[in-house]
Amino acid sequence: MIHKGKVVGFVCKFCALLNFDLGPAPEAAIHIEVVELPCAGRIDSRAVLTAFEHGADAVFVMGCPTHECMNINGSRRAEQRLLRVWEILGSVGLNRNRLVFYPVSGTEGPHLSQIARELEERVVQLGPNPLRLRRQGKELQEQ
Amino acid sequence: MKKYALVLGGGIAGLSAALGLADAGYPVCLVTEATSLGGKITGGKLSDFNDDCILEQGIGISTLHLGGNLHSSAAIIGSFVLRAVNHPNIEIHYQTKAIEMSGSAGDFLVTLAQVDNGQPLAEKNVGVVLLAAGFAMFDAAEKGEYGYGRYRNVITSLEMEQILAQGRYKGVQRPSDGTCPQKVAFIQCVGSRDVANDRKYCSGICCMYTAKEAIMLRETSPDTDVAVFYMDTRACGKNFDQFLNRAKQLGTRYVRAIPADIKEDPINEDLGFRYMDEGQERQGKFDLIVLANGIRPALSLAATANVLGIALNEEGFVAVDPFQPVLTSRQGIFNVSGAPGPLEIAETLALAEHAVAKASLLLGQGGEEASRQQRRLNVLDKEEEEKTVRTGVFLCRGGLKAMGAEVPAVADTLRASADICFVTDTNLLCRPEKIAECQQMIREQRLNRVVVGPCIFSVNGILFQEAFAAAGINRAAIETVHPSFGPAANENANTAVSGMIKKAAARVKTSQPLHWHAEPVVPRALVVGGGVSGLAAALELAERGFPVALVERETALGGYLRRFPNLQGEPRTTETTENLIAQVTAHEKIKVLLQSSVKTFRGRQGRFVAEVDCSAGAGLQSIEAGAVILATGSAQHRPEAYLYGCDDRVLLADDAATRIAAGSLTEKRGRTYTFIQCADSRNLIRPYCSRTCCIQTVENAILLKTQDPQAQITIFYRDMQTPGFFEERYLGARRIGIIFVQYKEENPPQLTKNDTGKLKLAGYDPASRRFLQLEPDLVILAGPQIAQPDAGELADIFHIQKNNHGFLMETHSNLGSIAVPNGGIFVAGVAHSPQLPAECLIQARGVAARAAKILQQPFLRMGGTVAKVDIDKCAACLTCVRVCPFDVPVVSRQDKAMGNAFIDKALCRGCGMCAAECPNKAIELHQYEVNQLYERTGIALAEVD
Repeated sequence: MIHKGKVVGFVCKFCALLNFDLGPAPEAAIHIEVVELPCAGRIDSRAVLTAFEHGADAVFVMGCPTHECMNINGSRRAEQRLLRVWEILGSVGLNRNRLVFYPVSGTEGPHLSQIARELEERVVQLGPNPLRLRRQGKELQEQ
Repeated sequence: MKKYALVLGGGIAGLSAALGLADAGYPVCLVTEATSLGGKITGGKLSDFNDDCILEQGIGISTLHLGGNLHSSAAIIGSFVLRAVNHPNIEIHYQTKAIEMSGSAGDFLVTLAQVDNGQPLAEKNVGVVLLAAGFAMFDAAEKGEYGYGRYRNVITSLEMEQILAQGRYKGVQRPSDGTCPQKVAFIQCVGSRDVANDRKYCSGICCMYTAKEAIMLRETSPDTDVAVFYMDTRACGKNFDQFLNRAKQLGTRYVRAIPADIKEDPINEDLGFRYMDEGQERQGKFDLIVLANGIRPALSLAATANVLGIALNEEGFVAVDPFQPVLTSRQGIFNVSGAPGPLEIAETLALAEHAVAKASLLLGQGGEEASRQQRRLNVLDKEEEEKTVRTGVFLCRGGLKAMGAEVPAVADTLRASADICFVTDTNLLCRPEKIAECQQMIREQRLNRVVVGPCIFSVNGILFQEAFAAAGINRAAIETVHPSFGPAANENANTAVSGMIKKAAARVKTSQPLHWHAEPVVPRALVVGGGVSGLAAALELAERGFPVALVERETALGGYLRRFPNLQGEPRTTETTENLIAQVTAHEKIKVLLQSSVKTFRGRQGRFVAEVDCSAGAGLQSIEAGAVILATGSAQHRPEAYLYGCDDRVLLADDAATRIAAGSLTEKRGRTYTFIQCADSRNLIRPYCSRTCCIQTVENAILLKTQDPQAQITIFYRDMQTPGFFEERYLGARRIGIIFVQYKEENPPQLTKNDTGKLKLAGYDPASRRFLQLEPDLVILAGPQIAQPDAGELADIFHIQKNNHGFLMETHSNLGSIAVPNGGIFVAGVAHSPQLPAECLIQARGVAARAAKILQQPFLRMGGTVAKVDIDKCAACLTCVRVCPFDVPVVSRQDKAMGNAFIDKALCRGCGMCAAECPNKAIELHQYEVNQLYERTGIALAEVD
């Protein structure tokens, strides 16, 4: 089965203004979905873990650069919260590198193509999410 | 006959002016000679772009460089074009020009004609004319030695834009053979700073747009070597230095040399030239060369100026007074173009705002059409009446094509979905007729959920939301599919796009209605800072009829310019400052509070409450205002270099300026003066350019030399920052015998004092490759402009951000110096970034015009995405109170004996941090509730079938 990388991003609405017009290089071979947040500071730890439960090979959180956060503290809080999630990932047996925080100014449009490539590398290196395979295995069994 | 506001020119300036007037209720006639709107931003043709998208001619310039940041031009200019096309107050005439005009300000008669054959089309009764002529590009073929027009791989910067725009889809391709260039050279100053071609001025924008193109090139094609050949890097605006550094960090090489000519290898069409680098002759070989050609007046400007009866300056641009740049030589005709020298985009927009404000005064009261906010408030957000969810999908063929998907396949897949009950497709979905059709369909099909798209323009989301809300759908139930990342390269586009739309449908299915309400606006402005920027802003607002409270912490008005009245040897600066002080003091609508400062600040756009400490006796005063303008200025830095503070002969430029103006320095003739630029500036600690110093030094050096022709003047500089028409002053300075010596940051001149007390200055001159030894009588240091030392505290009080160097920050969009996303707080003057006084005035007046837009509304729509506390779950732990960046939650015992948190939905900015931190999940942020987030995550990862 050809592995199709799946990535979910929790993106603050200012960063989400970056649009397809500045989209990724055509060679990025992973499917990236975006869940919009009002602020990176709104990131919910359980939402990140839910993403992994549902089979995301990598998850990223995008927020304004820390000192430029439009809500002053949002990105800082987001990073703090993610520290805990990284711990959980480690103790559960998922590679910590599957979760990454990108501080992106809402103006670094072309940078998105770089990020897409980086995510692809990550996914290829880390391989598919073991939870996803198990879930799929389960579904196969139920059939 | 209807009286119009006539806007000539459909580029970003014209669009901004037209929208400003139309939003204020005036009927606007927008005339452009081109076939479409957008000006330079939409100049290019993407050969395989599609006609089903509104910007059918494609977006030539893929990104805008705005204030040191890159933005998608689609988002910015796209929104302007779309709003103009959809605006009921704007009448657009394409391929049209004005051929005759008569009458006077307030009552002109203008004849419009077709561009190609001059056939008259219409006569319009016009109250005011706003000229947004823009500019043309220097014809690079005039520099025959570069081979433009003969060598296929020598292109202009605009052509490079198009290549880069397509580069994301097809890879960067060079013209001759379509291969990806391995070595690219940019050559600066083509047609600028060019005495031979009679283009002596600096075009101002080329250093930055080249940096932008270099960044895009390196990001898209990391293996390509990029070199920029330049004379001076003019990165003197806010964040510009950092932007340029980004280009360098990405590997762009900057070489200070300009080649004399370019030679082509006829077989492979590669290019080469010789250049001098630090006295060594080098041979450069490239496969693509980009000429950063400069700007010149728009081709039709001379003819248009003739028709309008306005004067042009020597260079062929509109003649204006730099201190009043919107006024032309004829009353009723306003300038919105780069007339006082070429303007950056942010300045252009500020100018447009100010022109709109001035034009409005002439036009009188707004028309019968309500302003946009009013129209938004008239729309009812319907409550859920039906339990049955009926979701409709409006597909745009333009968007589908852009993503490589096919209409029938996608439409069929969607119709088969259980979540979707209605699917239709059309092209140019954002056009007003199509939107009207969609609104009709919503009513006919009794839809209560809508998914629109896909659309590559994020700002269309707002357009569709308003349009479909007007048709009765709650805003929360409208989703525009706008992918940040497109379909993956190994995915079937049809499947991917259908998947995105189905997911959007799944999301809107479970949406909860959002509610808004009207909040009154306090029609008063608060201006903090009584320097020239604060004064100008306050005066503009007072003239519009709004009461203004002006808070100044010193004992007198005037700010920095009161202490240093004549920095650039420009007497009109002093005149302007004094006039402003007089007018503000005399104005009945302006209340000046001296020796006062703001201590606390709360509230929201439309109603802020500031506690002002008036030390001059009155104690703590509470001031309410609908909009706030921060013009708190900057400070002087005392450099720790060049013996400053240890010797009376070493002066700071600002201090020297006063003495030069008085003529006291040249009382002794024949002295040796040395100016040192970038003293303790543009270094690791302060890596930004202070913009005004080189101009100031040139003017003061010229003054000195004029006062005493025997004076020996040497200026040590790193990059001469004399953009625009100031370049001609720099040329003039060289011509009268002032010596300019360039130095590198790593190798600055050394100033010492010998045993006999003589000052000794040693510096390396790269041009002659010699070490110079000078014995200056006076050393004048141009140090940096720095932010106020308490800028941090100010930012905390107003809950806004400052950048790394302490200058107050605006939001990313950077279109109007707005400090916060929810608006209402503006920044103007040198508190924003180092600027010349004339530039401060442009910015301050632009900002005042924007503030006036808020203040003139009787009420604003508030609510929507706000946080709500579940009183039963709240334990009054005060976490939210501590976490909220804007001090919104308050705890009271009003509803519950043990107390609970209360969040005023008028004040909430919707960031959601309280909701994220609340230990008991007692707070939910509408539209982003925790369960909605989990659900959306699941939907995002669901398998697409």
